[in-house]
Amino acid sequence: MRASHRWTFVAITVGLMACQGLARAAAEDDALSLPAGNEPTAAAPSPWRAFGELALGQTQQRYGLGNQSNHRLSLDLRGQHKLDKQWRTTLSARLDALHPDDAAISGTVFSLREASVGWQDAAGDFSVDAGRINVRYGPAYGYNPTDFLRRQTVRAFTSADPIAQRENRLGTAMIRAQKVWSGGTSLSLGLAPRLAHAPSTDGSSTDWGATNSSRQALLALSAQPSDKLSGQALVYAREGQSPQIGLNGSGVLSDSTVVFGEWSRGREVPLFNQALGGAAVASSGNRAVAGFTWSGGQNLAITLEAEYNGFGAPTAQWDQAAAAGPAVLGSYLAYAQRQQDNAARQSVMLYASQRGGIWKGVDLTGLIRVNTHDHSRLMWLEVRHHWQQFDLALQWQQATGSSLSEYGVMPARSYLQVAGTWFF
Amino acid sequence: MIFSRRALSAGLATLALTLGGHAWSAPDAQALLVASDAVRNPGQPFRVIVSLTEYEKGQQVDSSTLVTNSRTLQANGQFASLIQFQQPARDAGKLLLKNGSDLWFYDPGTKASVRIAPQQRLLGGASNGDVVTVNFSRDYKATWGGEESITDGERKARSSHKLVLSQASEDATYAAIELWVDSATSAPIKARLMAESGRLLKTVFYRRYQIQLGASRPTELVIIDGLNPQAVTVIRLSEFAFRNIPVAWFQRDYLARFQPE
Repeated sequence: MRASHRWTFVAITVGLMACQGLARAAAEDDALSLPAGNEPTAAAPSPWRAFGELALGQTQQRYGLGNQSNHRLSLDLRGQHKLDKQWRTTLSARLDALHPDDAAISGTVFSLREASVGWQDAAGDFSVDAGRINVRYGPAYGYNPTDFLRRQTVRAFTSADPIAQRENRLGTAMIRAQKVWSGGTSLSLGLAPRLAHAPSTDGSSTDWGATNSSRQALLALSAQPSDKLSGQALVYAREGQSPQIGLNGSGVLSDSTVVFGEWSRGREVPLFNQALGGAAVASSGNRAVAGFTWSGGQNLAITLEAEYNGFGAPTAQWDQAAAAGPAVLGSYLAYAQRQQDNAARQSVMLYASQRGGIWKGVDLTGLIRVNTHDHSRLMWLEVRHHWQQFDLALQWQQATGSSLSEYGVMPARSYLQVAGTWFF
Repeated sequence: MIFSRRALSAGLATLALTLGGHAWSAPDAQALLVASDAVRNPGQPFRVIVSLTEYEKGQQVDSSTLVTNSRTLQANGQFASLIQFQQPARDAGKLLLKNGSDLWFYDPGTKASVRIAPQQRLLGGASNGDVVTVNFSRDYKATWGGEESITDGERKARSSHKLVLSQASEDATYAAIELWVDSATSAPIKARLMAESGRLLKTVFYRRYQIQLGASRPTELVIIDGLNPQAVTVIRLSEFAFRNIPVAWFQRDYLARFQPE
């Protein structure tokens, strides 16, 4: 490079750096003129949260049933009230007016999710709760083998999104004691009585039969060997059933990746026989899930998990049910859904969310579930715009697969729904 | 003229000695960083209300309010923070727990405590590291970068020490930080937060100093995105209060029971 060219290059570089510096200084000056917003008025947040939701949609159906319009009005209330430093009460309930009605429950569906009173010692290390308590274990997103109290806990299915389903689930009536030690170790024991024989079909029922149709006990030990790794060991006993054991854990693999896994083992009557009244012979089996969540730029988070249910219908039984027709297969699938269990032996789920990453105030969420036996799949997408007190969401769902596959047999082929949520 | 040259030479030599002597007795950068931390963070467990206002191209696009409860834990002397979302209403009651690399998000709606990666953002423009309490001196090694006059968050010229911070712990949120602290008080004035590649991630101005919990502390942070300087988050800190925060709060299994004092 000739000397004159070198000087030209240096001059251009210095000039560009000066321009960059000036632009940055100007941007900083602009930023420093922005106000900080309103001073928050209350240090203590309200203990109550409430929202109302109206959803209007159109479902495209199979079996020549044509299109069906559907709507839902929901009211949701939850809160925790501190009576003093050591005592608190919890109440959480929901009403769902569904059209068309849920086939299993008549009328407007009331879900008493939690109603309990709790006490803790002065240091907060030891606590006792009594009443209907929502206890949920397991780090996985779509399927939780160590969530032993999940059966029949959802009265109103309002979304394919597993996170939304969890928001609707009922707690179990129990007395529960928990001791926590520093360093992430804790031990808890929950004892649940039998309060009714079977789930209620009455929409207004508190439905103790759904969650407390037999006596149960759940012991959970949590441990945290390092700040990047934690796990839980669980033992679950249910009247008339052999005890089950479970392990779950999660860990930080890198700044952007969290891995998780769950495993449970026990003796149970296979799900297919429970659903359709086959031989009630229990056998040993495993449930497991393994997955990871990766966080990228623009607030993107992607979760991929592989799910296994050793009590789900094996290939031969699945094919047998399919051969018997859509009604038989449909009954099995509906039963598995009520049990919050996977009907398929093996499934894969991809769950992705982006919170305001592309457009401010707009969240994108989507999931795909695939039955790896019959390759049918369920897709669900949501675009949600949120304002301070109001959300507007557009949701789309499609179930695809051969006519006697898990998702191909569902009467609802696809639906499109608009939902508005007001937060009080 | 010859005399003048001698005088000039002597003057230059004196200046060189002065500068050399100054460099030899450069301030203890780590001590300045510790002093700067003490300005930002009280020495006892405390609570503060954090209001975030996000701007794009000068227009407000989002806002949220959180309550941050912080205390140091015996294990490493670093702060652990438990953050409760207050606003917007849809997020009210949700919790973020940070204890080193141990990050948990708890949603009272789903009753789920979900472990999250350090990089996962829950707060739009601000990262989790921007709203938790951090002692830089625990996570970074400081070297002295000289004395500089810079424009502070109130647009006034300030005499400052420039500190160059390099990551000394895997819990550090950023690979490197350039931090300017007041020459007289060690109060933080400005920081440039860098990625491992050397790319500027954010510029932060610490401003609106007020007496809070017995010392003059910044009550506003202006965070300017490094890639898009039009994306600005203004953080207001208010209602500082010492609190008796139990150690038990800072673990996953306590989150379901958490209720603010």
